[in-house]
Amino acid sequence: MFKTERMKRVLLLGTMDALPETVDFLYRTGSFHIIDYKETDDVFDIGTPLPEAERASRRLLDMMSISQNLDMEGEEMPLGEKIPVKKIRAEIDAAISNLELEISSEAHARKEVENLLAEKNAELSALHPLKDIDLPLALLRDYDSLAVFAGRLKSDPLPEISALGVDYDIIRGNIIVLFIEKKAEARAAEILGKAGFSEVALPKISEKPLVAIHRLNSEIGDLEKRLAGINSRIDTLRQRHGLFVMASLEELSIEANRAETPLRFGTGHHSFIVDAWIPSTSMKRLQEEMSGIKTGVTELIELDWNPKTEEPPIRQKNPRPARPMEMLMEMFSLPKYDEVDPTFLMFLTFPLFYGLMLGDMGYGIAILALVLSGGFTKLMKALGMGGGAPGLNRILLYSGISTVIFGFLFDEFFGFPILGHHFSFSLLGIEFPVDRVSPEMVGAMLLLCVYIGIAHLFIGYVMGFFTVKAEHGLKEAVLEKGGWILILVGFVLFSFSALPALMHGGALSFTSPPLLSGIVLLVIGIVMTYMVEGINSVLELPGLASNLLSYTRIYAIGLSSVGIALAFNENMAMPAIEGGGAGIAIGIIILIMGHSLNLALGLMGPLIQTLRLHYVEFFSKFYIGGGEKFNPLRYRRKYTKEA
Amino acid sequence: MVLLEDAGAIAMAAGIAIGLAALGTAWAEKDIGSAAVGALAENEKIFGKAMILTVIPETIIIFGFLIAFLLMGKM
Repeated sequence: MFKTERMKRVLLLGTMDALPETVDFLYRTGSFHIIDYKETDDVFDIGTPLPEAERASRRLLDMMSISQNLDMEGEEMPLGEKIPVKKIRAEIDAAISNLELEISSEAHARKEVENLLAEKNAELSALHPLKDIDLPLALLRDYDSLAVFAGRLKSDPLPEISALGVDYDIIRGNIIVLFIEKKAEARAAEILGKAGFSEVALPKISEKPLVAIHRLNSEIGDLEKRLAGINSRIDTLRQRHGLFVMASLEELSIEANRAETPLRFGTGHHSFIVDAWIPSTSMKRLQEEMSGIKTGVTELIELDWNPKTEEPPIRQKNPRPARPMEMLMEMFSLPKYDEVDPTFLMFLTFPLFYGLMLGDMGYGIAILALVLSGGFTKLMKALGMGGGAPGLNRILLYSGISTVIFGFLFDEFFGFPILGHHFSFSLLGIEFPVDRVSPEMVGAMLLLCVYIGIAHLFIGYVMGFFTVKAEHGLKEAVLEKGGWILILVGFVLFSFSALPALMHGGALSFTSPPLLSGIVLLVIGIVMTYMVEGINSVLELPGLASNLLSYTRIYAIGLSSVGIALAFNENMAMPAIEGGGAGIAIGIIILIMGHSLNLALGLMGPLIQTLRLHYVEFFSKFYIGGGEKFNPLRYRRKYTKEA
Repeated sequence: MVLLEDAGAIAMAAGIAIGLAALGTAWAEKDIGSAAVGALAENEKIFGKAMILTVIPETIIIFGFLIAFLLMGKM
């Protein structure tokens, strides 16, 4: 539970004729985390792909271009019945050539039409500034004796042009077109330049602009109709063949991967070796299963490994209910092999903190409904975060349950007290339900948060003790983490006995046993940690205080969520509802919108803050992390099934 | 009995405590946040770490909150 799966380092040796069957064996068992063979020596070299690799990759390329033409990139097909691998293998070649015939002509046509469309649209936008020139565009170019300027002007150059004393004509519209004798071209250009002339490019069209625009528009309309036709035919093709294309892509990439696996082995003339990690518990089963390899000779040998220099891959091992929490560890960093895996502790404390923060039956039930109805998964998908959703679903489920429980203890239902005094009980000397926002409770709630922090950090240091012990031995563990435990306890004793006096201006009584023992523990702890960590241990002392205070966020987040709920309930909705008539409807709308907003905040806030309390405050007391995930060879099939 | 003036001053002090602490948090988070988004654009896998780094300064406002509450207790 607190250790990750134990691993064994193994060497798989075999004769070359057993290679293909061994590859299949490795994938079938799904227990081998391969270490890539790197060094080359006289006997072994880096392996070469199996002969079928080339064919598999060529087919894969063909299939990928088909799926691209079908607009299937990045798309997921609805899962239908899984297609048997046998069927794909039998039909793949015929399917590729049929699909290519059917699709490539459409894809080609689509490309042509798209190019034409782009061309026509470019012409259309070039014609736009010319649209009130009522002349065929052919008349604007190719003169022997005339120069033509078409473009925009900032000021009027006419007086200067007419002063040139040559023949000219000017057409004004959205832009101006100036015809002038060729001999005056240079001078006219100068004048126009001063008037802020910017030339407009004339498209190579002969008709009048309006006529051309009309023609182009109808041509573009036709092309768009054709494009829509092509797209709808491609859609039909995708619906008909999509699943098969997906399935064969999956199968072909599996085949290509399989055939390229020997690249990770060492191979010689007659034999090969595979270096791998396997879960210790699988050793016997794997040795037995290996006898199923009929061709050639293979052998599985256990190797010794050096824990100082080698780091086995990490497979977390937790009881089933705690497994969704493993996602939170992956998000941070997987534990190292020798380290304590805190997943199970997070399983206990995460929902606790979350519930304490949100603590409202209404919101808890809403979260449960959202998770159980699958609405949350849909929401995550819509936000483009589908990847982590299954794990997050379970985490929110636990958190939702805890929120309902604490909501019951705090008597909050969307901010309304619904139990009142009709349902009160006493537990551990506390009268429930507790009104956590009442001024009398503030001090107690803040204190509770700090107590939780003390307990949490204490557990953290204890975990750290075991980690350091595994890495550096007992003495270091006692000095470092033992020292910090003493500091924590001493600091707490000291603060709790000294703070009341300090805050209310009383005198410190240095003879009180808690205060004295607190100071003694603090000093011993500082000396102990100083011996291992040096001056760092002293520098980290204020950090401990800020860590403990940081836990008061549990109450602060809770308070803000209650505050928002109360503001909607009492200051906005209730006055409206009490007004009667249309006010009732308005009040209900305010309630629905307000609580939806608060629920969205309430989902995210406690999630992030709870995570932070674990990642920052808790983990910094013991966690190192940086383990590599156990990633065995195996096939992941979604659209296909093996016989 | 506390004079109204005193209560008003305490309430203002509490407001200033939490308001300035919030500004401090925001100031610290704006740089981390923009750097985190930049890093995420390069590599989406570090979302967890990016988020944690971004919320680290939130402790500042917790301190402001605590001070505000201790002040409110004196009203």
